[in-house]
Amino acid sequence: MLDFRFRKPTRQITKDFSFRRKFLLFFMMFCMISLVGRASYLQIFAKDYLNEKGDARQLDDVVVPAYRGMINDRNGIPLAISTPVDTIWLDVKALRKNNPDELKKLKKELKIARKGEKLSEEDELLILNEYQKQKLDKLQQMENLLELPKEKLSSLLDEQKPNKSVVYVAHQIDPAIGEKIKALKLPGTNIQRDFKRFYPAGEISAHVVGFTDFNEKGQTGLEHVYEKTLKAKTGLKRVIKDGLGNIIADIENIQEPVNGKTLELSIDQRLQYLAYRELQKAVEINKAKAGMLVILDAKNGEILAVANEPTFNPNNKKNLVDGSYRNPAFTEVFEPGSTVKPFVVAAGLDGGYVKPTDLFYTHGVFPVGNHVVKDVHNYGTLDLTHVLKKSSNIAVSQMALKMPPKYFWNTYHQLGFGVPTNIGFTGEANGRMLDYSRWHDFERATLSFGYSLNSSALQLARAYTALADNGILHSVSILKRDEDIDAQRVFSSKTAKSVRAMMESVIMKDGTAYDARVDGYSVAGKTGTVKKASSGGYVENKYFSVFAGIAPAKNPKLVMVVMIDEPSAGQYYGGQVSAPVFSKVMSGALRILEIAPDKKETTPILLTQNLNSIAH
Amino acid sequence: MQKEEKKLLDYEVEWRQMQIELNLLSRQNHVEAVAGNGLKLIMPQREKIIYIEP
Repeated sequence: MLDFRFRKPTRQITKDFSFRRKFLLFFMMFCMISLVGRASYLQIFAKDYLNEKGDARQLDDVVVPAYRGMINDRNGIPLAISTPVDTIWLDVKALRKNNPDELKKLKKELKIARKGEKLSEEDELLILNEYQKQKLDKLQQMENLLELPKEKLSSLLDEQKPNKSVVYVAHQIDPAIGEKIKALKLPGTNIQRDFKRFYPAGEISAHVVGFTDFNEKGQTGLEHVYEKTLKAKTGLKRVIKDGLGNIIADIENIQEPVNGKTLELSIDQRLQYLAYRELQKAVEINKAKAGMLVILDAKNGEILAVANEPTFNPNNKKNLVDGSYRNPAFTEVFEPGSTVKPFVVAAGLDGGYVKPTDLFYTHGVFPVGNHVVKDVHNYGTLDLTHVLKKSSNIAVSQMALKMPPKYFWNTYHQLGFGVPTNIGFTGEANGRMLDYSRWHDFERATLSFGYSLNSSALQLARAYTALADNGILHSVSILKRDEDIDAQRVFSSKTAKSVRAMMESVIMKDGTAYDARVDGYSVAGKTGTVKKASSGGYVENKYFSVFAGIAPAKNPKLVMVVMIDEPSAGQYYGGQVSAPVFSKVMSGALRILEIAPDKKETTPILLTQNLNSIAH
Repeated sequence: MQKEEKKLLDYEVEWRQMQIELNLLSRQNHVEAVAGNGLKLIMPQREKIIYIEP
């Protein structure tokens, strides 16, 4: 047996390696510890800082666009709508600078064409020229796309010309064209997304809707009044982007985009158009300074149409005269003249100061204090109906003088004269009426035929709702609503009905406004021809021609006020100038709103047989 | 997803432009002009209108 125990160790050397082994072990240990240390430092202590740095390279906050609210008419037809548009501007410096990547590409192409030959200096110049030509070509394409005059953009490349550093090429263009321009990939091109407010109804509803500024902030009209409702809140979201700037994922919504709310108006665009067209025609024919027209729903005071002439185009504000964008039907006042006479009759009847059978003796002139009230003709003895039919100043003055001033004032006050309509329009007129304590007899007389007080067209129309809705005065509203919660009774139902019946006689052949008739419908109305006042008193030959009417008179649906300012083509009576406008607009409006005819005598042909007989 | 979102936005844009176009075409004065000049329609005379009572 061999004994190995005493064998001399064969490998003495191992002992020499134990140090190495330890060293290696310690070295690896150190490496491990430092790795773990570093890792834990990065993971735990420097975490926030590193996160931040990483995010900064990947995360980005992106604006999410939101639309300003639309303004619609009562049937949902848009009157104001926001659409995205692009603004394009060129950074001239960047445009002129040669892009080395592009040049390299061209070089490569040329090399391939020359089969790997080395390029001479001449070739380099050729490439530069080619590159410039490409740029010019792209600029020309842009010119074509934007329908700009030639040379407008291509001249920008001319180094000799000192130019602004930034050139705005086009404002508010269709985003589809914007995309095409983006596709040209011309250096220095910048496209900015904006919104543009567009008004499909244009000048027809301009005074009501108003307009916004370049930043889509409401400036006038309802755009201004309902800025808070319409305003959009742009959103902000955090996204992850890749190296090329494409969005890979949404992380979180920092701010939810909120579109503005849609505003629903009481306006009926069909009536609005009709009203505007006829008013414009009348102003033109009568060579008048201006005109306004208001249509109210007789049952709830909604404003169905409000037209003004002259007007402006909200889509093109270049020729806008300062102040011309106010809504005169709401902001301008005039003396309503004879159109208030039905109220005097109603007030007299309601208060018992006038009896339905009363007769009034007029002789063409009627002295009140130191003044004289005059009629156009001597009408002689008049009953109540004829007082309105002939529009006698003297008879209504007599009525007004019978009533106590306080009662008379109160009726006018309840009708809203001198009281703002509170529809929330900027610059809305209050109208003016003296307090009764300061009235003299002559003021009472003049008030009865519509002088010494003034009101806006809207206020006058509002007052007429009291006659139209059987004695109930309505508040007015420019927003769509189901019912009027602010209605209040001014006259008794019986009085209102009988005054309406009297006002029907105005539209008769021998009344003052035969031209206001509407075939097939009963109409009640009153004319007004008002002398214009200036600082020196009333001016001869300058008038407001007014007509206020209700239709159908038997069961009123619409109230309309037409006012033509300073007709100067010869005619100036309300019955000649404004009544025809009333007739045309009213007949159209009644047809559009599908209101059945109620006056069979003037309905052209009436078939009462059933439909089958026509079919055969 | 970015593509789909862009599509959504594009549709919104398109819808708005369609609305405007629809409006421009249905404007009363435009309809009137087309009816009068293009289709030669006229307002019937008063005597020729027949009302049918329900």
